[in-house]
Amino acid sequence: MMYVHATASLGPGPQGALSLPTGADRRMARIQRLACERAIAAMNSANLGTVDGIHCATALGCLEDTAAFLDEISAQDGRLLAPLPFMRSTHNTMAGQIALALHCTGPNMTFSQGTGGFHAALLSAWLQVEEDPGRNVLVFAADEHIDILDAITGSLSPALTLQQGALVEAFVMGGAKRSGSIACIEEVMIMASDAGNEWSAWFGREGKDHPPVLWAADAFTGVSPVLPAERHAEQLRVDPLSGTRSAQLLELVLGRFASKEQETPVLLLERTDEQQTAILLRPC
Amino acid sequence: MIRTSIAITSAGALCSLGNDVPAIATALLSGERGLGPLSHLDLPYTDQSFGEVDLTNVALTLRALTLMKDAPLSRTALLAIAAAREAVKGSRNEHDTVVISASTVGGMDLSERHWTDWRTGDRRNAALAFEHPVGAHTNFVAHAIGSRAMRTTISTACSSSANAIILGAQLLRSGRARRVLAGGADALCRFTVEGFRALSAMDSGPTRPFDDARMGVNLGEAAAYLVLERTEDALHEGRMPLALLGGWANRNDAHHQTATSPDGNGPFAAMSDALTMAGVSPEEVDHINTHGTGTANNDPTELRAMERLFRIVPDFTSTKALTGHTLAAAGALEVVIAILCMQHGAVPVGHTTAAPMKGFRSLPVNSTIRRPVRNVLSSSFGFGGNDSALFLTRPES
Repeated sequence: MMYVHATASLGPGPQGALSLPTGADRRMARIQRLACERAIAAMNSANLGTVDGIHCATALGCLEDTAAFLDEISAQDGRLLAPLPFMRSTHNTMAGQIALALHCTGPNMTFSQGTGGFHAALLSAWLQVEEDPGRNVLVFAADEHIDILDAITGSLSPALTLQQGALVEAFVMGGAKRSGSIACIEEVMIMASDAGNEWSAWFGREGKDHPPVLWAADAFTGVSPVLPAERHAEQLRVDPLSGTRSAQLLELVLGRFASKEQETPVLLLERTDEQQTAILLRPC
Repeated sequence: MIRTSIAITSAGALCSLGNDVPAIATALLSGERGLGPLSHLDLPYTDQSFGEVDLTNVALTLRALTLMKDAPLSRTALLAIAAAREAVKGSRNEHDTVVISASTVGGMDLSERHWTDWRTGDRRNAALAFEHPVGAHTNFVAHAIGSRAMRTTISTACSSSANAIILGAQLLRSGRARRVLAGGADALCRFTVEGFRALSAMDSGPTRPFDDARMGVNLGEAAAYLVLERTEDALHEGRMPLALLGGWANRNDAHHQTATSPDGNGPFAAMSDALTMAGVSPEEVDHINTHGTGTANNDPTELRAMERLFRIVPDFTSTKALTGHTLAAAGALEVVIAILCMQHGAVPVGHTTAAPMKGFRSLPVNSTIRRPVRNVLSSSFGFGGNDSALFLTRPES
């Protein structure tokens, strides 16, 4: 069990206790700056000064710098290249920058598996707080759009339009309920999309109280979760920037909890060609 | 919480020392260094040493016996499938096996080949972009062994596969998995070679970890995977562990994006906390397989952390002087090497030090030592301040 204390836009605490150190963003790229800003906003919203671990999900990593370095390589004529885009291109740059900003020396993980990377980050955070429920962790998802994505997706899935810019969703979570906690995550599950029987068995157990299902289709392939008939289900639509999609869905549900629009548990389901995932959560 | 013991019951790997674990063992014990000029990756740096796997992509495809519909696969995926298949002894029925892999470049070898085409609107190979994400190879590994369980990919720079092993152990201990394939893969590609050149962090000759004259890394490529189980399950089902994973720690230095703090605080915390978790004192460690990249910043900060933790630093080696720095695969590959050290009673020599680093009293082993190896500490650090350490024990027969 893991409690969601706050997000960048939802939470109980006073605003503005933490800020990015002056000049710290000088060498940061767009997505790193946004990740740090959103993480700090979530921390302020939770009214916490630091956390015990950082668990990140990103499907494509720091794409802008990756593309910049590939462009430099293509145009290279034997000279040495500037190292900054390479240094910033690794997937864990964002989690590393946030560790610096929060002085967090605890576990630092970065996952990448399409939309399911976020569920792995949640599980990793879960395992850390399970050892000691007094711990708090930062879980975030980040991805960014670059022009060449349009060219590639345009030829493979012409109907798909991606949001421009970078997207980051950040959550402060912990093993113990706090006065302002928004939700309690009761289960996180990841399986292969062809795990038919295992999935049905899990669904039968976890869904026995029939919480309403909220789900999203894979924007790229149109694949959607297999739902039992007669089940109350609502499709949610969010930006398809893949590594952040599940985090956007969670943020949307937390918003409903916070506004009391939803006062009972929900099951959040997604499926792609490769994986099916679930998050069972209830309002606090 | 009850500290469930974690067993490593099987391993698969390929690197510049050999194309499977027995070949790596032979090369390791004969003191071979797997470093030399590139013969498969087409780059103009002919005077530079690398640790390249001596198989073409065609040979790897045949070896992986992929029968995949989406050819060609990235070299990272091909290396990964070959090592994973060795680790599960060719099984295609690993239905319940959780797959946790690690990579930093993923399908970058394909992306860099087609980048200019994509940029100029040539869409013929657009579908290969699906192999770019670092998680793509993990899907291929899961398909190749028939896994229908959870799979995920970790990308924490050079500590990636050490962290894959840690997550696997945590899942087993929590009861969320019964069998885990954990490891990582990274192919050599132009992107990383140009990156390390730009950082002036490559030694043009064979790399010289912990030597005063060190000039940087030799980049390498590898894939390495381990089967992890709870020790009681493995013994109950008659599988003798190759090694026990007694402790681990994933820490962050929180000092600088690419440089380690002068006193090695993150490395110290990772090594120290792994030993604390295992319930052993520093004196009980027989051998340290260091991160030992041979860069100006890593080696002194790592050795300072070791000299802080150990009154007398145990026999230590950087096997990156044998395999090259295999990035995301390094942590798992070095666990495979640690197992071989335990099995064969040997601490291998990496680079033979010509000039000790100034200001330190400890030197890495300078010739292969034949002695029983019971307890090994294996370190993996990386960009982003990531510092991880694993404590391994030889099982008593």
